[in-house]
Formats: sequence, structure tokens, C-alpha cells
Amino acid sequence: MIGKIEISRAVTALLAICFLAAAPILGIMYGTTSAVTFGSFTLISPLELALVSISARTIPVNLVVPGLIVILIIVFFGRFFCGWICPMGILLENSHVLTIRKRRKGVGALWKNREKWAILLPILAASFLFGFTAPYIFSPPGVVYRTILSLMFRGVIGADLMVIFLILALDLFAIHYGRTWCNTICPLGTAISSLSFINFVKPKVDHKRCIDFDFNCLDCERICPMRIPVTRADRWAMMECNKCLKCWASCPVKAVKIDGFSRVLHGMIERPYPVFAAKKTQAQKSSRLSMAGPSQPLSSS
Amino acid sequence: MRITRREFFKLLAEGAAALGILKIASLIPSWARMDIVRPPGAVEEEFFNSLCVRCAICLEVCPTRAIVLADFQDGVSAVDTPKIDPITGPCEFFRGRCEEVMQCSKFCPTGALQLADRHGVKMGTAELSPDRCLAYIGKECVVCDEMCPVPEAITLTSDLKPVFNGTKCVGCGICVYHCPAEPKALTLRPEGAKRTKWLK
Repeated sequence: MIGKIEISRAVTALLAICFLAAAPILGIMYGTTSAVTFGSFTLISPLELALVSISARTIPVNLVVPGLIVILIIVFFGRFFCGWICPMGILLENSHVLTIRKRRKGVGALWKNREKWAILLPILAASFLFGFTAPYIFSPPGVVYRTILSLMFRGVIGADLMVIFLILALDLFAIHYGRTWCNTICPLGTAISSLSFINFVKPKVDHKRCIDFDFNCLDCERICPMRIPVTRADRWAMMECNKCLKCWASCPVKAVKIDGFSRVLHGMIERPYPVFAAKKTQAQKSSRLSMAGPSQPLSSS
Repeated sequence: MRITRREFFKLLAEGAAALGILKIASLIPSWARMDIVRPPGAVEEEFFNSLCVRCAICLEVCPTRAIVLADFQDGVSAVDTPKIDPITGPCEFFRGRCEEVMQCSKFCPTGALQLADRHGVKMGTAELSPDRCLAYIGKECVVCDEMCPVPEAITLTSDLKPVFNGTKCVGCGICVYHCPAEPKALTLRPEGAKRTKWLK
């Protein structure tokens, strides 16, 4: 289940780690994903900006421009960061390789996934009440990068490794496939996904080609690590999309298009996920030739 | 996206439960420990924990390896914030590599560490345990007095025993770093620290 896209995403994440580790030695850039600084130019993550402003009860003037730049990027590109750069997300996603076959049903209406708000909002409220900002330690990319930097510069692994193991254990023992941490708990992910209003890179299903009604295919929904019901999702559900391109690559009839990148990606990768639909392929071929498949109602699970 | 009444109350209950857990947890005294030696230019402790975003920039730019990240034993609210560990390195803000500009304060993105005049900064106080100090147990040692950058912070008695003047000490930890005793006869404590005022 690890195809070209997974490898390229893992390589991107590794390159990001290498850059973050090498840059301070070369003196180009300092920092982790919480905040980076190029000397005079700074960027700060929106969750950190919110926590600082809420717990200090004011927005620090020097953080307004850095925060706005990052928020603008997120409004346009959404959770791109979670799919391609966050090392924790990629680790969690690929650690579920063994269990993916177990999910045979479509995901159902999972954009009713509101537990994430029950986690982010109390964290923000708590940081207002107590000036208590420990959610930083559960911002997973920051955790991973801090562990690496602390090991590199001081030879010490601090509290962060425990948090990594905690998140891994939570996710591996969770019942759902994919990134249970990312799509339900992660405060950073919730902050990013609730900011991505425009989000112009996202999958779009061509319902004329989609064989969902004929064969109850739903491969895209089964494979989606963020558990988005791709064929039925509105833009609010699509805010969770982390641009992993799995739905696009797994569609047996190429009905899923990626807005914005479609032309560049077209024909690059030919179906790297033959798992779910392999048995159906023959049936699909005949169906597409004759254009008359057995019509079944959508079984919502 | 419609929310039924049952779901709405469930959501409220979840939020209230999470808040309650956090409130109970915040009552544990170890969550608000104030005895951490912060880097020079740090704002007051109650603002420091809310301003610091745990980006580890100070750890990267520190030229003397003095800054380490706090662990769980320093209190849960302070996990991953910077603290001075004089055993891994001395802080040379008063004399040495950071004499002209403190690198950690220069690069801090949020203002948790602020550029300050080095004469107005006091990170803490070095304390001497006479039962481990080589000079007090009968050997010859004046290393701390030789290394100390602050005039009159350490004075020697007539029989070459160091006496620490807590009001003059700036808490840089150079004496702790160079102390040859095993274990170290000196400890750096945050008592009497003068922090920078945080201007909103």
C-alpha cells in the first residue's frame, strides 16, 4: 500500500527535517514549525499565535505580520502541511499499512466529526483561564523537530519523545484506519483546517464517470486518511483535506480530479493502489464498454 | 451540517469535562513552579509561559550551549521552555561571546526573551555548599574567583576561601561551569532574579 505518492511525501518530509536541521548550522534559518526566523523575517504558526494572544490577553505587535502571512497561505492551501511536511502525520499514516484492508465499508458521513472542536476549544479556553499553554507539547511536528534539534545540539532527548510515543500508541490502538490523531485530536490540524476557507487544491469527483452507484466502489472514501467522504463532501468537509492525492491515485475510473493541479498530475501515476478495486476491474471494464451496469442504491453505512 | 439537541448537549458536556480536568490538573502545585533559571532578558515568569512558543530557536542560536529545554520535572506548564543549565555551558551575557548582543533575545520571535542592558539583568544567584567546596575541605582552589566576570561578586578570605556576595552576583553560571569539585560545589538558583518588564 506504499506507492509512489507515499514515497514522495515521505521524502518531502525527510527533506524538511534535513533542512530544519542543517539551516541553523549554516545560519540560514532557525526554529521549528512553531515559529521560524530568518534573522529579521519571522513566521509563526496560527495555533501558536492564537495561544499566545489568548493566554497573554493581547496580540503582540511583532507577531501580527508573521501570523497573517501564514494564515493567508493556509487559507489558500489548507492542510497541505499535514500531508506533505508533518513527519508525525506521515509516520501515523504509514504505520496503518497493516490494518487498511480491514476497512471494507465506505466511511459514511464523517464530516460530523465534531470531537476536534471539543478538544481545541477547551485548550484555548484553558490557556485564557490559566495562562497555561501546554498544548504546545502536543503540536506533533513541533514535538518531532524539537526532539531532533535537542538531540543534535545538546545530545539530550527531553520530554518530547514521551509525547511521540503517546501519540503513536493512541493512534495505533484507535479503531479507525488512518490518522485518527490528525483528523480528530490534533489541535494544530484543527486550527489549520478551520482556517482553510478557499482551499483551492482539493479533489473533485466527476459524477458521470464515478461508479459508486453501480458498484458501490467508494475506494476514495476507504483510502482517505482524513476520512473525508470524497464523493459526497461539501466544502466544509473538504477543509480537512491534506492533499495526499490518495483518492486521485486510487480511483479505478479516474473520476477524481484534483482542482488546480490536475493538468500537471495527469498521467503521472497509473493506479498505484490495486487493492480494493482489483476484483472489480473486470466488471468495471465491461460496464464501461456497455454503459449499462446493474443499478444499486447507495448503501450508506 | 445540523446539530441535534442531544448532540449539542453532548458537545457541551465534553467541553465542560475537558475544562474540569484541566482545572483539577492546574491545582497540582508542580504546575506552577517558579524556580527555573531563565535565559537573560526573559520576561516575568507568569508572562514567560504564555509568550514562549517552544520553537527552540534560543537553543539553536546559543553559542555557549547554556540553554536546554525544560523537562517534566520543571513543571508541566514549563515543558520545552528554555532554561539555563550551567553544567552544559555557561551563559556569557555579562562577559564573553554574548557581551554585546544576547543571541537568544535577538532571535526570539515572540518577545519572551527581550533585548536588555546587560547591567540590568540578573538571572539568579550562585550558591556555595561548603561541604563540597575544595577550598573549604582543605585543598587549594580559587577557580570560581578567577573566572567570575563580576567585580566583587566573589571575594576571598585571608585563607583563600571564596565568599559569595548574592547581591552582586548576576547568575551567569560561569563559576558553576568551571567548578572542579565532583559533584559541583556550586548551584545556580533563580533567587533574586531581575526580569525584563513585558510591555504589551
